[in-house]
Amino acid sequence: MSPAQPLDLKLQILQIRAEMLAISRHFFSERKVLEVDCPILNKAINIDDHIDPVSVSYKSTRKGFLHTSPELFLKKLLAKGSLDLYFLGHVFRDHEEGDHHEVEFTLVEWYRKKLSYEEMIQETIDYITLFVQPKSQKSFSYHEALFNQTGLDATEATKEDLLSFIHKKIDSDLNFPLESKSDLLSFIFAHTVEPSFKDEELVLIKGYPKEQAALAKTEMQGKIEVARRFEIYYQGIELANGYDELIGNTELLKRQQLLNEKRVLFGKDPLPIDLDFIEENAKLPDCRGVAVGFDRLMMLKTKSSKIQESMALS
Amino acid sequence: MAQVNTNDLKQGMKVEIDKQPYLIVSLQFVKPGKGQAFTRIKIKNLLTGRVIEKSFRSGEKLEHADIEETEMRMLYQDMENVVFMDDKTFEQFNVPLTQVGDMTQWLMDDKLYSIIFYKQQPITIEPPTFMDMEITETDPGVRGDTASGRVLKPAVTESGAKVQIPIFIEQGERIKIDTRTGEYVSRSTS
Repeated sequence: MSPAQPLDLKLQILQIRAEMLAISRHFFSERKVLEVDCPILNKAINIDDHIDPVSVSYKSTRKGFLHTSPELFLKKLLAKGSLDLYFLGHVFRDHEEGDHHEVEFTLVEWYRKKLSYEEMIQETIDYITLFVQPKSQKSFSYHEALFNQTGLDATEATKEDLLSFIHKKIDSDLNFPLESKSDLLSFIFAHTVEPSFKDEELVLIKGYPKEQAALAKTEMQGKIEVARRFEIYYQGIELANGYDELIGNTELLKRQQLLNEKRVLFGKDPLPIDLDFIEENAKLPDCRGVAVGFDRLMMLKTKSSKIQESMALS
Repeated sequence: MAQVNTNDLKQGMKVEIDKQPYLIVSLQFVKPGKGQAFTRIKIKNLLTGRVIEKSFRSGEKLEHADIEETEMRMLYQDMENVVFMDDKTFEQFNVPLTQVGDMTQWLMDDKLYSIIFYKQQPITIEPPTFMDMEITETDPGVRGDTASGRVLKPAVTESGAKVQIPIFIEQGERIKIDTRTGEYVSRSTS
């Protein structure tokens, strides 16, 4: 065919992106949520044991990181008394590359003070369904979803139970010398529960194990302490991850240090802790936050099988 | 032996796991929101043909399989061996029929095949992706059959492969076949 064809395809992709970006911005401006143009280059970023930042050097001797999410910057503004906020732009996560992953991708992340946790979930669904139209919707607790698919009890099961399940059902000789019980749960969830989600269904998962709380509050559900964290899947693909945001600094500092210890255990570099963020988090107003993978949403809207098909890659 | 990082694995690569050579059929990057990243691969054992699935932590290293491929021309086959010749050195080489397995259906004299060696031993052969061959056995196409929606009929080719061909192709005609899928591509143009 003509050599112009690849360019035309790229232009088409960019046109769909532009429309989706405009629709997104309209969605937030209607709700009086303010767009924030966050810095991409930062001295410190949010610490996660399994998310690796791209580190960069600049001004000859300085070291920094490209943000993995705008969370810290936005929360510092919220703590200073800002309006509800959103970020719509590129973030970077090193080593992530596959049909549903790319190192540089577009995230839409927003924070709401006036919405309850349930209202935040609904708003997230309202946003997602601007672009895709699921035929039905299901909701499970993490414990329910895991039990239905595997018969395992996320709280009661021991590390040995989980390992024996993995060896019987997933991979007979995979070992986990360094991993915690929570890591094994994540592995099982990703290999058994997520693939079981039906194509046309929007699936909401709530109440993650407290070890997977990240920056979410926890609550007692009966005798079990779970994270007030939710995820939304469509066509088996994770689209959204939201929290009832943790306030205060003692617990936050403890969690960030713990995550750094886990990084070291896995042979990764510990990351600098953003002490401003830790301090400001004591003043964080009661709020809910969520992040949605924009490219994945576009990939589903355009019925692509690879995330790269919905991106303008260089 | 050279190693490959699981992040750099590609479909079609040949790796060694538990002292067995495997071909990567497909791969998937699995990364739960707050969990560890894994690469899940579907692999075919090059010695047994068995397909299995395995998970590796991202960043883990795998060994490249000690695999070499050499293009050779098939001379003839007897009861036990298929005899190939290297076009450059004129060296002759026997591959036992038991190793050729399912690929025997694509064997034709005077054609070039890839011989796959594992630790210097031939383990299998790969036919050209597209092969032209004559239809030696098929029922005559029946006019009107298309009305019932039937557009393909069984046939046997000169190499002994059983394939499905369009009903308008007759015995004695030459067709092009995709040996990866065994599917009819077109009438031969050559």
